[in-house]
Amino acid sequence: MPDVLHELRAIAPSHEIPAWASKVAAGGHEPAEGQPIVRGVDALRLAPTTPAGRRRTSLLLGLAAVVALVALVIAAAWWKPWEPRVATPAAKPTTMTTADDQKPAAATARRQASGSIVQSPTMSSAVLCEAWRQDFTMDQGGCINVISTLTGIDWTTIPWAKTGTDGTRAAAGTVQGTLQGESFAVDSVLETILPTPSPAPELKLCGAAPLAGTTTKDAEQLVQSLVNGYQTVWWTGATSTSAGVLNIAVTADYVGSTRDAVTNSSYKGAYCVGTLPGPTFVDINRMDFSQISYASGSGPHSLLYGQPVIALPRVNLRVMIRVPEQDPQIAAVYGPDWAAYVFVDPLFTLVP
Amino acid sequence: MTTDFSELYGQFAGRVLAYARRHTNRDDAEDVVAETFQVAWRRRDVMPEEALPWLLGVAHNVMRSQWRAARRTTPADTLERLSDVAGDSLEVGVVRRQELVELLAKLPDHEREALLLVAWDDLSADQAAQVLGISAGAVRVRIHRARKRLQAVKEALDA
Repeated sequence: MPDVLHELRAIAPSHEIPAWASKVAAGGHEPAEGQPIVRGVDALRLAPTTPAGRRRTSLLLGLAAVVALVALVIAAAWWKPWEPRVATPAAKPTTMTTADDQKPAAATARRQASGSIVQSPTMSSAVLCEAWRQDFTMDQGGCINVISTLTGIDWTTIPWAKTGTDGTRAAAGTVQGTLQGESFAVDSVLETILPTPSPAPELKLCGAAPLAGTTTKDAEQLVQSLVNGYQTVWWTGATSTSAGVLNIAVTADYVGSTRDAVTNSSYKGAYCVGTLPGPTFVDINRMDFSQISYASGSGPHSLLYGQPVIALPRVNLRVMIRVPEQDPQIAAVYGPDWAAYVFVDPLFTLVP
Repeated sequence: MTTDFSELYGQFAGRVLAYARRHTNRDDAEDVVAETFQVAWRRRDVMPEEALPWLLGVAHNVMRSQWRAARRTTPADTLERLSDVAGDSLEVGVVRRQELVELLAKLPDHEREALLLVAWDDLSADQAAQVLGISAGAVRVRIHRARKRLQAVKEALDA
């Protein structure tokens, strides 16, 4: 007679996400919300999926409606719209400026990244791994995320490297060199990990007067269409009735198209588009297409995943941009939890 | 932890959903998953290496706070949810599956909870204790009592 616990185990529910759980499958978003903008920021801020979030949203909307009504009455008494007056000139487009110290570095600039270096007989060249697990492939572990293929690795200059029956690896360190299209040309390997990035100069995009009546909701619709070249977006001076100033920081090669997208959108509030130091999308898109092909992810944050690399458990290329120098600015607006959620992998920063 | 958060979600969202689903309806279960991972993100610094028991514990607390605000669930609700979520098994068969579900629905809540954390969520007694915020000894006692109850009814039926 089988034990009841054995029978219960046999009818255990599936742990796969069922078809009806579309919100869970979409990572907490309503499926119709489409592609997110910033991992985590999107999940936590843009998707009011929880009952508490819905209650908060309803409360805020109600409060905003009362405030708007009071403001309307006061404005009507002050403006006296029933009296004739001279027509108000149309608003001028926002002037955009980019500070000199925010010009991007050249694509050929010397850059660095940290991670483990791995070379196995099944790989045509060494790769830089972002993370490492002991219980995966190779007798000494496995590479979880491939950052890039490396050229110019001289193992004799890496005395801390360990060789097993299935390959050689050097634990986390720093490689320095230049991006060379599909690979990273290494000219120096350091045992230490990357130094902590020094604080960036204060972000100066532009100052512009916000237009009343344009809310952050309008801006969010615009932001959802800004994916290519996207780095981050934040608002300054936003209130419940005004979007304030929408700040968009993109890689240098997408400034023009981003500005076009903004001016052609229905968003009519103030905005600024600027750049920050960091890799350009040209840099990123040149990388290692032989091993990585882009695919629209259906994961919790709709990340773009690459295809698995042979002999490695998985490769996971997130096409979001992280510029560590930018973290203080993001943290200043959203708080420290948000800063780390703006990513680029491969992550190459300028050599200080 | 930051770089692994999406992996964490991919790995455990289904598990948390399955756990939530046997306590609440589909819509609320999805909200429980969302709230659980929001808490996980905010408290990722204190999340232990063994994430599943911790996540289920968060989900347990999320649902407890919801239950405080909502009406109590009836035995009929419990039976319906368990029938909906229980898996199919050729070994057990359709009739026996329904019997088991009905027996589970009749167990005291705290005993059923402990038993299913082990039987359905594949947790150890220690991990189940972490989810419920009680001692591992208390979990073992609850499981023992639940199994005795189920076994007694099963033997009576078989006889």
